[in-house]
Formats: sequence, structure tokens, C-alpha cells
Amino acid sequence: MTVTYVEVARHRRAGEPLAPLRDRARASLGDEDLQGALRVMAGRFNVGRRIAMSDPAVSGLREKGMAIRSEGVARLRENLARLEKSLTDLGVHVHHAADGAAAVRVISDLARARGVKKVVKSKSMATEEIDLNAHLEDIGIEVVETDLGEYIVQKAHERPSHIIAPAVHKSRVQVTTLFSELAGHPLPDRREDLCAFAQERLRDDFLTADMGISGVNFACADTGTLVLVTNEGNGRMTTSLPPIHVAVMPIEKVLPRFSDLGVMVPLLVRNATGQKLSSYVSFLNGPRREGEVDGPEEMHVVILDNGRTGLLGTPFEPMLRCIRCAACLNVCPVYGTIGGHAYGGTYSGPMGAVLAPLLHGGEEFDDLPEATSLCGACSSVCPVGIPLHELLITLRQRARTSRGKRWFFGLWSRAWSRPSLYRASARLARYGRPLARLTPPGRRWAEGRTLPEPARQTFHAWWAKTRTAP
Amino acid sequence: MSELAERFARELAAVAGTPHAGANAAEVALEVAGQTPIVAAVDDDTDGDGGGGGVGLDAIAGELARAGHRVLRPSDAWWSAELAGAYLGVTGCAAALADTGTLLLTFGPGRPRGTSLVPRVHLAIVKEGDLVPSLPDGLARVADGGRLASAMACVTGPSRSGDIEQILTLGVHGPAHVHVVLP
Repeated sequence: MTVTYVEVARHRRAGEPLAPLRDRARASLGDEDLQGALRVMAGRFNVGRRIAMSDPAVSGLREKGMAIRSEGVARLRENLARLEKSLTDLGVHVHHAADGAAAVRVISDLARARGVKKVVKSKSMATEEIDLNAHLEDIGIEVVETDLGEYIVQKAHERPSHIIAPAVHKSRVQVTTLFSELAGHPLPDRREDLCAFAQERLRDDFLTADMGISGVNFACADTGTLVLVTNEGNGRMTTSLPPIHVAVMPIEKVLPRFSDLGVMVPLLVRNATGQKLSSYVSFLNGPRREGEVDGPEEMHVVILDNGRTGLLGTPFEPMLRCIRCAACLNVCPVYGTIGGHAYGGTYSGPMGAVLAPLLHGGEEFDDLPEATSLCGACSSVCPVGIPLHELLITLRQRARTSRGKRWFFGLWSRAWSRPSLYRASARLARYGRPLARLTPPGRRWAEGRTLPEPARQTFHAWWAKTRTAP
Repeated sequence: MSELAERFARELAAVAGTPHAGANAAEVALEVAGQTPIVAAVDDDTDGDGGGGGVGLDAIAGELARAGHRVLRPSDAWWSAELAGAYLGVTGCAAALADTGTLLLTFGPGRPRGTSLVPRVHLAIVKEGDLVPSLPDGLARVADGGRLASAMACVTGPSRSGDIEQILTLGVHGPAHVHVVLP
């Protein structure tokens, strides 16, 4: 099967077949624009993060953040119950969604009941996860992504390829071409002009939208505060200007205390973009109150599970600490080579390779844990100490493997359980490489691998000789 | 100039904001508004943190009006309809975080969310008592009064986006210019 990068990047509806990882990766490797964009990306993000995290002013920040997240996840159910009470006290409507379909239903029903025609959105990976835009468009609602990167991706009919920089796979030239098509006349390829073009087009949407939909970066159990970390200001507009605000919040976003934000917000921002603080951090404590002239009249939170509760008490529980900073994507040699689209799902990079097979049933993403070199760079940069590469190994062990592979490894295991066959195989190993190349699976396996030179004699042979020597 | 104010000015300048240390707030407002008549949205003269007095926003509104600018106040019935056309928004702040050059704003009656967000230029007036070292101090201050405001925001310099080639470009949705008058 041959797929092109355009197909790999295209927005795929749930249920549409996904090409195998190997083909998706090959398509990405062959795309020159993508390869250029990835080289630019890795440099900028990694340098920024290293400088921001080596600042003596934040020594100990990572350890504090890790402790807060571990505590938050260990008492997740209790924290969620406290959060729900705090939100209700603030006048926020709380909805629980066991899966994506349930979340979509809650939001569609609400939009229909309120006669919503236009929705403005600020960037939210949770809404990507449940494919919310497509479902709202199906019932005739206009959905406008307002984050510049998301706007680019939406207009190109693609999916985000990076969890904090959705259009990271696009070069400035490609954005200029896309925006010029939208404008109906050629635009200059200066970043300032491209930003101004998007801003102008989106301004009216903010003022005329009937509903604003956002994600949530953190939610505080004790106060009910919802926190959004942004740079452009579209998040503030989405949650301030339309009459209804709906926030989609995956269950793990909850923090025990409002005061934890003093640690978690800087930790997220420094690891994500290398800034000390993002341009904007919004703290939302319910709808507008008596005497206020702006702010939403109605506020809803959809608390999304979608397979997460199932991770509690399993070896994958640490994954729920993830704060979506994308540091693991930026350091990953595999992500840096194939880009985010090749992962095929909502999330990419090491965190995506762990999450996708866990959150989606079925076998679609079972090959994702292979998309790693197991170098451990992801685990070493993770600000909340998730042992990402170890989780990938655990997932590999769990993955449903092909019948051929099972047969081969079964044979191997039985052979090595007998001393005579083990010894014979050790002698054979010296001729292993030419032998392996005789079969197509063996050739594929050996391709691109550097195998160690086998010793001239086996240990057993050496031992037998040494022992009988005088 | 206090050490905190100095640090704030340095950090704000580092994120492309414009500090005005020890300046007269009304003079800065007139300078930022420019010669051509513009629409300026000015918050009520209430203090965001609930303590102390105002920072002279009424006086600034008066000066801007005298200079021929159209001034919008939150109590005006036409506030919401006209805010989108405002060039300048003038606010106080609940706290100013010196380590990052950040304004911590609390919204409420007389202090709408839109003043610091919708206009092209944001001017904030910081008084000595607003200055604290860092985010945890600011959060502790706004949480101290019991019930949190319906919405709050940290504003660190102008709006920016890194979505095209990961190079920060200023002024995407929020204000492209942030001026801060420091004590």
C-alpha cells in the first residue's frame, strides 16, 4: 500500500481505515516541506526549554510539579468530586461524558437547545480527541478555530501535527499559499502580514459567535477555577465574548489546590515554549456576575473520561500526570524524523505512542509503541517524571502480535529451553546474519540494524577448553 | 524606583512590553493615544485588589476626553457595542509580578474582561502596593479576599503567536502593544 503525505495529514473521520505505521512513516520521510519544517522546529523548541529550565530561579520546580501531579492522580476520584462541588457552587453546569460520543451529544444538544449557529473555539486537544468539529458541522453549526495554528490546519482540512504547535509541519511559504487562496489575492509572505490576515478574518467571528468552546489546562478542586494558558488572546476572547462558554476537560486536568498553579503554570510554560510565562493565563471562576458587562452568561464543563479511568491502578497510571507540554515530542528522534501526522491519531510523539493504544480500543494503534528508539530522551525531559520509554516497552509486551511472530518466538523459547538446542543456536549465530537474510522477514529485520560481531568461539566452547587445560 | 519596580520594568521590556517608570499616567495615556482622535475604553477607578484607592482612571478618562478622544466607560449603555472599535484600553491591576513583568487583572463590575483584550493597545497603571515578586505571591493576594473574581488573567506583554515557524510574532488577537506606568 502506498500513501502520500497529503493523505497522512488529511483530517480522517473516525472509522476510516488507517494505513500501517510503516507506510505513514515512509510518506513523511519523502515529504521535503515536512522534513524542513521539522528541522526548524526541534531546534527552536529544545533550545528554549533548556534555557528556561536551567534558570536557577526555578530549581526544584520539576520535583514540586511531579509531587503535585502524582498526588492529583493518586486521589483523582476524590479531587474530581471536590471540583464538581466547587464548580456547581460557582453556578457552572457540570456534565460527565464516559466517552467521546457522550461528550459530543452533550454539546450538540446544548447547541441545538440554544439555537447556536456559530461556535468559536480556542485550541483544545480534547476536542480533537472526540472529533467535535466534524460532529457540530454535521448538525449545521459553523465551527471556527481561532488559534492561528489550528486555523491554518482547519483551512487546510488537516489534523494538528503537534500538541502545542498544530501547524508546525507547514512552512511559511505553504501558509502564504493557503491564506492567499482564502483571500483571493496574493499575500506577502511576512509572518506579521499572515498573522494580521487571520486576526482580521477572525475578529468578526468572536463578536458574532453564539458559543465559545475551549479546553482546560488545569482545574482547581478547591476553588473550581478553570485555567487556560495561551499566547494569542484567542482563548481569552473565546471565554469572554460569546454568551455561552463550554469547556471540555479530560478528568486528569484536576489539581488539588488553587495554590498549585504557582508551580504548575510556570512548569508547563517553560517546558512548552521556553517562556517564563505565556502572554496570557486565564483563570475562570464561573459565569458573569451581577453588575458585569461582559463574560459568558452561561458556563458548562464537560468532564471527559474516554478510557482514562481504566488506567488507574495499572502500570500506565503515571500517564495521567501528563500536562501536554510537548517536551517529549520536541526531543524525540522519531517524532523529529516522521512528524506528528505519521502517528495517525490525535496525540503524537512519545506521549501519543503511549496514549493512543490505551485510549482507543481496537488494534489500529497497536503498532505505535514501535515508533520509538527507546533512547529515553522523553523520560529524561518529562517535567512530571512519566517513564515514557518504559511504558512503551510495557505496551510492546502487551501488543497483539502477528501469528507469524508468535510462532517464531514460541519456537525460539522452546529451543532455548533445551541445553543442546541452545548450544547449537549459539554456534549457528556466527552464521546468523547471512542465514537471516535468506528469508524476507529476516531481511526486513536486519535492514538498518547494526549487529554486533559474534565472538570467534562460544562461551561454552571456551569454558570446556579452559576447564580441561592443565 | 523600588527594586521590584525595576525588575518588573526589565522583564516587561524583555517580552516587548513598554514600561514607563515614574511617569505621569495621564501624560502617558495622551502620548499613547496620539494626535488623531481615537476611541479609548477606560475602566472605573476601582482598585482590583479591593484595598487602597484607585489609580486615577477617572482623571485619565477626563484628560483623554479633553484632548478630543472619545472615551468609553463600563457604565455606558453602548460599551459592548462600541468596544470593538476602541484603539486604547486603560486599566489598573490587582497585582504586578516583578519576576515576569506580568499584570494580574481581576474582572468584575467596572472592570470588564474586554478593556485589556479587545483594543489594539493596553495601558495599565501599577501602584507601589501592587508589586509582588512572583506568580505564587500574586495568586495568594487575589485568593486572600475569600471569593475569587468571576474571571482573572495574567497578562505578560503583548499578544503573540509562534504558530508560523515557531518565531514569536506580536499582536495576533489581543493587544499588540502593552504600556505599563510604574511607580
